[in-house]
Amino acid sequence: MREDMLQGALQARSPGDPAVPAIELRALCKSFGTLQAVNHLTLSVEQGEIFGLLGPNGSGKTTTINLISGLSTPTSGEVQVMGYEVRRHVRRIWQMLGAVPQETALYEELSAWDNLDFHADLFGMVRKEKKARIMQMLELVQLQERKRSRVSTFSGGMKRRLALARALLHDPHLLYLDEPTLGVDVQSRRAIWDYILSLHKEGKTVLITTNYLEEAQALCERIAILDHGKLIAVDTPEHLKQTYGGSVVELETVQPSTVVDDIRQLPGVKEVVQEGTRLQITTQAGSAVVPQIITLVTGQGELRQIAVREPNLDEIFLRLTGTALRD
Amino acid sequence: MHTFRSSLRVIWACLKKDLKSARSEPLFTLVSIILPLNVLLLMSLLVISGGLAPTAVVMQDTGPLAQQFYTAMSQAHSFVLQQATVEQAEALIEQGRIVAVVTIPADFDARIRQHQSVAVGVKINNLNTDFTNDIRRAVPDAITQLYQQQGGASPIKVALQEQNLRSQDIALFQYSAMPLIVLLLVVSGLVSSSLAAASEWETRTIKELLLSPASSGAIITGKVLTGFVTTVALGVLVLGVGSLLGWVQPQGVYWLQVLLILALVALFSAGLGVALGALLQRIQPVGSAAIVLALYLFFLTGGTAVLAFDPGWLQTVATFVPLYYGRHALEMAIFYQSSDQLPRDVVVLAGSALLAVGLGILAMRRGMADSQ
Repeated sequence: MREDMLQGALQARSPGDPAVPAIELRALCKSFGTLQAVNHLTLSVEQGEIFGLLGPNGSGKTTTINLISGLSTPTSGEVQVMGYEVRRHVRRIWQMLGAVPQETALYEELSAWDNLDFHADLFGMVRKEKKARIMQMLELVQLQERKRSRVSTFSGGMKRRLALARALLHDPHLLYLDEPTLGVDVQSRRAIWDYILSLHKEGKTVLITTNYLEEAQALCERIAILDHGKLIAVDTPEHLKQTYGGSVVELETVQPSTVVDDIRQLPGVKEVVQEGTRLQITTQAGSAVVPQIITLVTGQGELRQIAVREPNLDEIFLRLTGTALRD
Repeated sequence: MHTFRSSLRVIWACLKKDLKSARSEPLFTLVSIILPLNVLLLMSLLVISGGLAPTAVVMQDTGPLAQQFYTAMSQAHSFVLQQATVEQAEALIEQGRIVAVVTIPADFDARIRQHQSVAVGVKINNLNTDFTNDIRRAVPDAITQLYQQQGGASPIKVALQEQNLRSQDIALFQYSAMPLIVLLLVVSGLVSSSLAAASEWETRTIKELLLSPASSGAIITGKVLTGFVTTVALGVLVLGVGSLLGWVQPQGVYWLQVLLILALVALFSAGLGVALGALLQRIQPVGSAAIVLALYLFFLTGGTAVLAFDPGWLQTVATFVPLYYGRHALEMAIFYQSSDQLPRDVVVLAGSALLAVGLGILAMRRGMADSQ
């Protein structure tokens, strides 16, 4: 009976069990002296999800990642990865985690093959499978022809791809990518995005921190926005736009100043920004308020141009945190 | 058993990786060879230039006693002699190409046979006291030798009775070259292992190590072994070359003594190097600090001089430097085929090596914990 219960508990914790969140943070706090780097963070990332962690510098992203990967110990709260409590099972978690740090951190004086070979040995990969797996990863990132070249001769994009191959070599359940396309040319960026999306198809959980909102929008199924160690918002990019964005109306008129106050009074208008003859109006009510805006503007003069669009993530981020992401 | 095998694999992987890195970036490995080689070269120049005084001998008498005197001078190990005419000798000393002109007068043999005093002319280019004093000591020494060869017929009744403490004479160059093997071992061990450790932080690859399930003990052991293997290999190579050139020639079982001491010094240096690398965590300062530390350790044990003739305070300091014991054991084995005080030397060196490795492990663990 006890054996059955134990077996059941182990099965429930199995990384393959989709019921177990890939990452679960409960009231997580981390302080450095008086600085509260992570402040009661509660968050759950499902298995097989591509999840983005966004925030300006100093928002607590790196500290959160360090807590998840067991490189740092929380002041309070709990971190579970694939159902395992990080503090108690840190080595098991390292075995399940693949990481691509921002600085790439490859052995530049060694060849691509030697870098992967060393990683395979560190992770105790079976010798018989090692060669085939290294070759497979090099083919995945299209570096098989450069396998004997020194990494120092690689471009930034090639290094990123190699770092990705290294992180995937031991077939981790959870992949963490810190700024995966930072300093990478457009072609490599596209290729890396494709690899990440292909991992998603394989059912891997991917955690991304990025400063490129375009990247988060293109890759992530859900995004968490952090600021000053606190969770500001977490949702799909579309929901975030709907919830925090509304619509943006951009128009050009002859005398915008005469109608600005009237537009601000309209129901559903959140913000009006004037730049010369141009107005940028953020509305909560989608495009329903647009006819009223047109009426007001044409009543005072000529309406030269009008466009209605969805807000981008930059604008939502700015609205939520009061700061641009690159600050 | 599985954990033990996994650890061995990680140790081997770290060792292999660091050796490949060192081979790819040979600059610092070269530094560890170049530094002792430079000291050796400098010392050779000093020995060559400062050892024997170039002297011209004007043989105005060619009788057997004059010839004997010339031979006594040539065996005095103080001169490089050349025979010259008065004019040639004058020209050479005027040009500053010789230290002295020794003139054996025409009546040298005749006057000695008649028990009359004879003046051997010595003109000295008293450029510096080192050479001047060599001439002032060596010419009278040759005169004494000349009279000693006459046995009972010699009017000088005071004779030198030499007793040698050691079984063989050791040339100054050979004697001074041996400590350089110790310097080579220390520089190599310190430089290679400190760089292997520091480079993980500088290139930020420490994160790769931290996020792997490999035990930190195995990773650190791999680092220490890198320094150890590099140093032992270099030491064996230098000993081999030295042996072929006849500079170091331990006999039979004393080769084992030399190899044991070499291994202990290498382990001591490698442990200390890992500690240094983990503390500084940057390649440039670590490279410089390792060389400076190696030089200090080397000179605190007497450098290429004879420590026993150095000031008392330096001798006291040297007893606290483990290399002192390494140097002593190597000297005994290489020059005198002796195991005098070997147990003491081995115990101190082994203890110091373990302490240094412990220090390396501690510093590396602390560095890794701080990086988390």
